[in-house]
Amino acid sequence: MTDAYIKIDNITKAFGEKQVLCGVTLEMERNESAVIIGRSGCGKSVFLKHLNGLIHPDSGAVYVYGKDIAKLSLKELVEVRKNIGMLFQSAALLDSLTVGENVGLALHEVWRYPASEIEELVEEKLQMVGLEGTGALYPSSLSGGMRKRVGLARAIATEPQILLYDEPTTGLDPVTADMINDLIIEIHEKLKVTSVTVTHDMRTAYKVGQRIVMLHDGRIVFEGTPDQAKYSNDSVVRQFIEGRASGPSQVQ
Amino acid sequence: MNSGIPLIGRRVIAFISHFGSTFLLFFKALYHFKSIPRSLGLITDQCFLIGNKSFPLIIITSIFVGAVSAWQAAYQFKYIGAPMRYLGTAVGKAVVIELAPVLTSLVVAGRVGAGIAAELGTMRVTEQIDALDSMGISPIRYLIMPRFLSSLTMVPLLVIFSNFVAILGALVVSVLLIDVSYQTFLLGVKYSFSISDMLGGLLKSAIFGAIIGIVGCHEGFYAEGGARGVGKATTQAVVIAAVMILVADYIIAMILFRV
Repeated sequence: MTDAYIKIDNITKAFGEKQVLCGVTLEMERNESAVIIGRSGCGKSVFLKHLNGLIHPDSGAVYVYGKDIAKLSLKELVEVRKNIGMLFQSAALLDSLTVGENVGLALHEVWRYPASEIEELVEEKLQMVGLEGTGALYPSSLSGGMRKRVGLARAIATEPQILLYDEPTTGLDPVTADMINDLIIEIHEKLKVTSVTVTHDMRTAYKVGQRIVMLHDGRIVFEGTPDQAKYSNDSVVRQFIEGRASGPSQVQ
Repeated sequence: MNSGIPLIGRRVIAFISHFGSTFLLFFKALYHFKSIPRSLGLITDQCFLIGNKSFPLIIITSIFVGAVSAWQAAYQFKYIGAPMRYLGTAVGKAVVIELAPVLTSLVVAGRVGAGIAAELGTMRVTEQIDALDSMGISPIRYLIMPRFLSSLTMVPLLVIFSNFVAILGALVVSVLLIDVSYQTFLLGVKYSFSISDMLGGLLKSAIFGAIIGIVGCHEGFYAEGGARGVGKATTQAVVIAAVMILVADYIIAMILFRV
């Protein structure tokens, strides 16, 4: 048991021969916004998926509201997931559903709200992300930025207490990326959520993070405020935030 | 030689593991039958996709299955000197017991099994299945159970339809090309018709439908590795379902239609 809102206790994870996480420990308080940075393939998304039980650790534990989520029954896990929203890297909208149906999916399937209430909530969330009136469109007709915003509307549809963002600005132009950053901040303040954002975009990291955590070779190599990250003397951190190919972290 | 033994061992273990994983998914799908009432919309959508959309293909294949079986039967009758009045008997029996269930199922495996695997495989590699899980929606209830149940129920319906169309195809060939009157042909069909054969054929079709549904779902649901993985899953769904249908057909024939 733990008092922290989210506690990751010394987790390890390997896929076959590849060790992705090698003893990661992190605690988060309520209404905090943490950003996990690191190079592509360093295990950021794998780390994020541990927080809502999509992946379970090989050893160690993940506590959400003090509950070890690897030890929960499926029913208990669903209850925890009801309060965790997630924006996926590719938005992961269901192709066969309209934008409105995507946003209202959990409200319909899990919370079983009446159709009229779902319609109202869907429009409200679409309005929050600046996509009012797009409910009848299919994901295939949306641009990358719009898909991300619909994904965001879906993540906040049930007004969860925790929001997980997996590379929210990857693949977007700088203007759209900044719009997404603003939305993440606005949602964080408006809904009083605890946010965990995984990114390798330093502009996103500095803008949305109250705390920056850097993963490298499956371990946390830096933890501090955005200002501390900016002025860190650690060579791995410096190489990453300056975006240099040469340095201690070799391109494979 | 020595290196071959571990390789064979690994292949056998992989085969058993794959088979076990398919069975596990089958039981999970059965468990979620309890959610049928709240998933009716999803189930009817799948029934429409699996059933209604297969009708044109079943019409074409069944007409030619009936036509060629009438022609081949007539050729054999001529060879052994059997009277053509039994043509309807032979064709009717062959269609109801064997041809309609097996060939319809193989065609459906190609169309529906591949479609299910490709759709679920794409959903897997684009994280749509993870998205369902993250929202607290069981992908087994939302995706697998409706597809499995629809395949299980729609294949027998398609086979009933195929029976009629195939016999119609055989009738046309018999009347126009073999010079057997339609009264004689239909009398032969009626003579051979037995309700137990029909039920046996439908039982087989339900089992084949279950195989198509669960194999397609399994291959797609556990696909990995991007577009290549989806392609592999789609091919495997058709190949595994086709082989399992033919093996199951033999086993069911041994049990139901004793010599």
